[in-house]
Amino acid sequence: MFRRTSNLAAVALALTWPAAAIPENLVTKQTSTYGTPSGLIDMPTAEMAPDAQLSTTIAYYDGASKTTLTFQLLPRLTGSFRYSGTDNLTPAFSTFYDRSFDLRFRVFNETTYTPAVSIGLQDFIGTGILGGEYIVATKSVGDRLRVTGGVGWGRFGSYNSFGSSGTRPGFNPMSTGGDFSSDDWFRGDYSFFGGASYDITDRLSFAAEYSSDGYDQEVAAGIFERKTPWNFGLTYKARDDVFVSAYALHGNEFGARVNLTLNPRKSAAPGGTDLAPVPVSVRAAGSANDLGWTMESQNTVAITEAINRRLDKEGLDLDGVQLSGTTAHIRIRNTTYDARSQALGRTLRVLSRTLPGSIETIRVTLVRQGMPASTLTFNRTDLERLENAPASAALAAATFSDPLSFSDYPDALPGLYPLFNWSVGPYLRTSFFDPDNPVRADVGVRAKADVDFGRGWLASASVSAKVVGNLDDIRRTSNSIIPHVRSNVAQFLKEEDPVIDRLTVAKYFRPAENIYGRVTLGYLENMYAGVSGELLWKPVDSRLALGIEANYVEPRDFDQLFGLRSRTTPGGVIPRANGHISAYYDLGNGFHTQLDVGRYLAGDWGATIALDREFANGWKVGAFMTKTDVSAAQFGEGSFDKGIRLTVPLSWALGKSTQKTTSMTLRPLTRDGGARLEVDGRLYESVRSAHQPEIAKSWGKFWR
Amino acid sequence: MSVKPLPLTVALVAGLGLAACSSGRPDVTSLGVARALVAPKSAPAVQDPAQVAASVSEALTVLEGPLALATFEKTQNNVVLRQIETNGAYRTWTSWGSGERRSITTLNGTITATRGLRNDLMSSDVSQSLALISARQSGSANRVQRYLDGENLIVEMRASCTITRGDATRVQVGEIDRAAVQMIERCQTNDGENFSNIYNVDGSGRVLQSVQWLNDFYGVTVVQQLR
Repeated sequence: MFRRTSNLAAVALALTWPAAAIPENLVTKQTSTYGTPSGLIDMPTAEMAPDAQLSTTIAYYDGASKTTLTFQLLPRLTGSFRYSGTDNLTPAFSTFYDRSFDLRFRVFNETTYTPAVSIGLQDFIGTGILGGEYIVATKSVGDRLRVTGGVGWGRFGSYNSFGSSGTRPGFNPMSTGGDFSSDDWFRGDYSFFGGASYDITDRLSFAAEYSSDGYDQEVAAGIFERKTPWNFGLTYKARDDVFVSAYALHGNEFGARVNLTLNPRKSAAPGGTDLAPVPVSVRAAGSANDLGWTMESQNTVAITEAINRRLDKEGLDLDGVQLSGTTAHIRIRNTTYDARSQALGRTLRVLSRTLPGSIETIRVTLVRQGMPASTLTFNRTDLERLENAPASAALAAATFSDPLSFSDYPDALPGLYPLFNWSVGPYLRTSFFDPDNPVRADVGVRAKADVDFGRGWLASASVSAKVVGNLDDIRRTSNSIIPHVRSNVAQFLKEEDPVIDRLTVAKYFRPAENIYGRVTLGYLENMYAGVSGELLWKPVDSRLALGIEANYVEPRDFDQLFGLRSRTTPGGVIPRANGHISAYYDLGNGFHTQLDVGRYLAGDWGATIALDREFANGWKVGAFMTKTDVSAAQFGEGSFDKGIRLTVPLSWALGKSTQKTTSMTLRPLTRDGGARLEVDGRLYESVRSAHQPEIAKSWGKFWR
Repeated sequence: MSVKPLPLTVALVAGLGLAACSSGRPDVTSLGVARALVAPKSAPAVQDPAQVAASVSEALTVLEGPLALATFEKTQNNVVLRQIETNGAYRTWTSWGSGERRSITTLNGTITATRGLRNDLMSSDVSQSLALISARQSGSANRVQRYLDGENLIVEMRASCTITRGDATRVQVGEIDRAAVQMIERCQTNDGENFSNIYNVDGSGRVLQSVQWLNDFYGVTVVQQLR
């Protein structure tokens, strides 16, 4: 009956079963040379990627490369961002680099007898060199064959057109680009394209297509010969999430493509590999009436010590305790669990094992940056009763409130503050899309220290020193005609000696219920010093928050030490004052939006709108754009500020709870219009992470 | 299908500037991640049945109170379980002799929850099944098992099951030597997947041995009472 034994911890990679079983309609993880979901080569199909799939595709043929990041925004909507480079395309540049955005929308899903139909815009904000629109239908025939046919405009209507719908202004390499080129959409000549993909084996698939792309600019520049409209390709699935392809383009070029893909909803270790929590201790019958412990004050000290010790084992910090005969109010600091529900669940279970039996009402307040951010009230009887019930029952029994509404809010433990923290580690800083060298990076060492004095007073410093890198090679000098608030970054990057990234004193405070405040003074970021103040209105159960921020800044010296420099730049004088009013709203279904209206660093007035898809495990994928009273001509290349951003929780990648994340913001260009101050410790994210709507999203981890 | 984000992890670590060392409690550090990446993926240590038998009899000698043996078939793990807490009829067990706190919770000898095993079973509704099983009666029952997925969401697996009374058998494990009846539970999930569980139940309705399907990762899990 006995089997071979090994250590319970020696576990391999988990399988992701069971996953939400939403049937997916005509999806593929494969991508075309444009990096969009497609089993073909250059031509689009009506296919979608699985919901939330994120892929990076690098495609190359002699002298031309395309790198595309594609995200399945919704089951029926795909978005892509692309960086392409073509050698000798125009006389002005040895390599013509260009950034482009695509969208594809699934209009009709596939049925037994009718094909899936999608409509797409390619390179719809930009110079339009890759611009094209299409309406395309794809039908699967059996499990292995998919057949596609469509009508395309722009690039996809440039060969063998059979009609025309108006005129298309077309590609202008010298325009500032970056604006919505809606005058072009579905205009000009249109042509038919089509193709088929066939899975030869589970790993190998074959594609053939009739391309309606005339490669007009490339042929005109003499860098491409288009012998036939036919393209052929082979794709090999190296792993479930890695595809490698080779293809023949128009009887002239051979190309290769690699596609790396992942899905934020699937992790290597679903639910994480954290150790088990302590179980709930159920009180013995009758113990609820025993108030004898309240007679001796030493008992409170012993109980506090026991809570402190046990919370510490769970990776949580006890910040304060207030006990009465039937109620306990506990303050904790959680620097371990990214799922706040998990921190709360573990705290409550520890308390069930340490609090006297007479205590029935338990309040746990999460303290962030010295501010009480939210209080969870839980009846101990419910905790005992619901340990083995669905998590939703515990959520229904949980009450979240503003800590300021309680008179028994505990004081900090005596002698706890000040708290001193430090860390030393490597850093990587990157620069993308400089035409002279599209990828540059610096690696160095960064030391950080902060002192938490309690009551919301925080001092923090960050110092870094470059070890190796080529960011100092940036030769581009700013040609901006508005104050150079960001475009002079190269002068900051030249610095070889250690620099002070930040050196600030901040005070966080709660002026009233539902209101949070911050004032930060000092060297706020690498480029600016000054003072920054912020107020945020955010009820504990609200999906809406409103904020106001005002900053008064001076530009720092390029050496990023203690000195300041003149506010006068070649493009004008940098104003001291900037600031915004902001609205934040959780739209539900995993979407979040933010609107900021105000005055930007260069003194320009305008608004930024951002939309993010957020996952319960902390992944965020979003886009933002800023329009200010700086005109496209004043702004320069790109016309206005915009970009996409990505936040990856490290707990997702490692399986172990941690609040560390890595974020990336990709801007096609960094210019001076629509630029904002970067201040550490802005209120919204840290406040909302402690509030009910956010905690409820990952409530599945309450009992984990 | 498994997702292996390790190359991405490397990129993240590089991009993140994780601290190499810091004050305060242990957290994820760049050095720790780097170490985990280069560490050899050791094969699970294999113990022979005699060794398992020895640790069982040692546990029975050293420890008082309820003891059980759990076997995770797919990962080839055998663990002596010791009961650490009860909540009503639920019992929570953790492995004996291992410093790592990972636990399972049972109801009458059948697993209703796991903690720290990845893709954890967070809770189950098995009252219909257990009523038939402990009465040693055939019948049909619905079963719900809730798992934590990669997005930190609870995914419910609902299954319809048929329970049939099988042969009489004798269970001889640890200190237990009793006559039992084999109860077989055949289930189909709402997604059309099939699995089955087997329980050896004594005359008092106590499940002495259960052979349960947990999830694709652990596959079949065996829990045997030792006392």
